[in-house]
Amino acid sequence: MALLSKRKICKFCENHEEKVDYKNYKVLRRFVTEQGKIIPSRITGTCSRHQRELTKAIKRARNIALLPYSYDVTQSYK
Amino acid sequence: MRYYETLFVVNPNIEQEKFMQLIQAVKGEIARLNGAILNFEDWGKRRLAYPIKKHRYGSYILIQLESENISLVKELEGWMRLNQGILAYMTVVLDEKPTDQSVVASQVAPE
Repeated sequence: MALLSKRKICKFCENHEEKVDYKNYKVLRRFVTEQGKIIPSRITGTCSRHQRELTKAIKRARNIALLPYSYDVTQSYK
Repeated sequence: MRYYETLFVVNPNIEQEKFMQLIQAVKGEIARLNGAILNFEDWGKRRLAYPIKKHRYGSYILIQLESENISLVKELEGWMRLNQGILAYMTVVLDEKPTDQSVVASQVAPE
């Protein structure tokens, strides 16, 4: 039972209002690491369908500079 | 009818007057290519995730449009590429007709 309750639920399946969109970079930012890499669905618990959409959205957001392609964490920022 | 969404970044250092001229030019170009603008949104100046042509900031403009012209995207992007004031652009195809709800208000309000 304790194991079952640990199971992660896909954020986008849980909340149908929230669509995966490249413009909504604030949401996308939760699915990339500090370095800017896309976090695998086995970590975030996103279902495969939404993970596919997410990947596409993140790549689009990178293209138009809403999200970084990579981030140098060794360098201090701000 | 196809629906598109173009998001582009304008050099933030150009004067207000030049900026307005540029916006008019973009609108004119879309009209010339038989496109109809459904939504127009100015997201304002915001920080870029990485520098583009040495710029750290950019003014984002979102335009949702519809057209029957299949070469519209190619021609519009070709035109934007040559425009000095536009730092970056991206056009995506929309699955369905966009509603007029504001993206800025719902998602990308300035920090």
